[in-house]
Amino acid sequence: MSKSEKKIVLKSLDNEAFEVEKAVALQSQTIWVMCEDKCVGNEIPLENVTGQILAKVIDYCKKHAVVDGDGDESSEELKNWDTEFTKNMDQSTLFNMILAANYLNIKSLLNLTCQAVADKTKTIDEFHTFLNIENNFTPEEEAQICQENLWAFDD
Amino acid sequence: MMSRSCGKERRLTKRKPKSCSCRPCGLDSLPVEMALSCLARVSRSDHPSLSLVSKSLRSLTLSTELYDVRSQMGLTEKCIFLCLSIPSDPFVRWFALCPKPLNRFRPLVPIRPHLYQPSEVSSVVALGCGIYIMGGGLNGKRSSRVFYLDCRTHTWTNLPSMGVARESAAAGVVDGKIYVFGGCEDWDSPRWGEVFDPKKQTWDALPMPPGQYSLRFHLIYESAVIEDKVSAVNASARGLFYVPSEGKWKEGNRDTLGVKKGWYVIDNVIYCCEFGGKILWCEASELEWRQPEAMEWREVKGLEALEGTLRASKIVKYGGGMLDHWESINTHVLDHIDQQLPGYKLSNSGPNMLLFWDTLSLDKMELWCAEISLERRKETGEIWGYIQWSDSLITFDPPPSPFRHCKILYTQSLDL
Repeated sequence: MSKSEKKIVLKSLDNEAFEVEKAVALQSQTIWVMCEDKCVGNEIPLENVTGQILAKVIDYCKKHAVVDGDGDESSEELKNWDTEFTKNMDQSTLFNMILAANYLNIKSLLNLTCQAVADKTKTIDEFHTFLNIENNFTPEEEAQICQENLWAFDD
Repeated sequence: MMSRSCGKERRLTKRKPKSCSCRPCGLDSLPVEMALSCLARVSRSDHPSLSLVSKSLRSLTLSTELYDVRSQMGLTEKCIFLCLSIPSDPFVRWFALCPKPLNRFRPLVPIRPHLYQPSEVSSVVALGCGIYIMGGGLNGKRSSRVFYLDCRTHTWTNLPSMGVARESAAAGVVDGKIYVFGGCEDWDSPRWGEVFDPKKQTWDALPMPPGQYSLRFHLIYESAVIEDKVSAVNASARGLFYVPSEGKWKEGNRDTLGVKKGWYVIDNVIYCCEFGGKILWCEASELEWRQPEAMEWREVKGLEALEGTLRASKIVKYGGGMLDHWESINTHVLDHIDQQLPGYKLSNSGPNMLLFWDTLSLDKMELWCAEISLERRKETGEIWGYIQWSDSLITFDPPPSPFRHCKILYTQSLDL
């Protein structure tokens, strides 16, 4: 097998091309199916992912790729790497990563990013700012729910 | 009408700046299944905050889909549901508790009460994602009504009533069906024992127990499910079993103490509360008949520090309004009632025991919880308990009544 056959080119929505090892790219079930279909060449267009996000996805896949004779990356190290990987991602990057992981069908990355969203939101304000959701309760509705939750003891 | 900007000052949470809402972004930009996948990972103890974020999140948090995703992903958490009768409160109330992040904001989540739940001695079981409350004493009369509390959505459903009215009946779940028996006025009733099928939503009669069992098991003090058998102990400390797989009744062992103690089974060991503040245990296998020995209760070691506190947690509230004139009641009567019913209750979180009790002083009433890990010492045949943590769950300041304790009616543990 020639060296070029072991490589694959991924092309993002905004026409950025990334040449990666096949073993790295095949962690995506979507790419794996595309490669099985002989109809695509060495270049795979990914219409739903921007270059900025794709670069991050490839970083993740490189780290998680099982490379022959290079298996000394301990699971603990990998876990720490994953934590660092999502730690400083802003909200919109994280959501785009979720969408990309879902589209590319990379289960472990989808789990990681969904967990990161859950971990970053602990208080109501965090939910509002991080999840970028508008509070659409009327003040009266909100007061009523708070009342139900707090439940004061009045005689 | 109040203008929007005026109401805004009083808001408890911040409204997001309008400029960002012009295009779909944030969680709303994800397809529902991915949003659910994110939300499923949020701990149940954060659900009250989650439900205050927006209307769509509130409905997602309360949806059964969220729980389906949680159980598919193996993310269910142990949740405890506590039913309390609080002095001067006309209703009995349920609260949800996720034991893990106990020190966090608002550990007890109140549930809107069912206005017709009997004030005591109902038979209560947990099955699937909910709690079934069957019969009980309502205004001095037995009830046949059955209520279902959906523990995911904290909503109530009325279920078909039992064939007869019961209080202090035995109840247990075997193979997805709920068995109840005894506690009815007519000991000869053909519906003395019944079984509920939650799928079909129907009650069917069990075969009649032989001989005088139905008479002797008029008043049931304890019940438990052990190895797919529903067992009960009556007021005179005699044991009786129903074996659903065989459709047969069997005589059980004799209990040594004829008082109500609130049995709780963890890993094939029955634990109970003794009114002196000790936790006792007995092998579940001893429930089986083995004349002439009776069930042997031993003390859980290592919990001496809790004894005084637990002893002090006693139920003075008993029999509806009887104790409104507390001072005039002969203390002897109160002592007797106290002995019948220890004030604290047991539950579990996995293999660990949970203890609930209340403390009452002139300034405040508090409800406490402790988690206790249990160790079985093979060489001595003892069970030792180690307190992992203990904490106050709720404080009533001032106490609703200076003399009356909070009554912990039922505790149920569920995976949600």
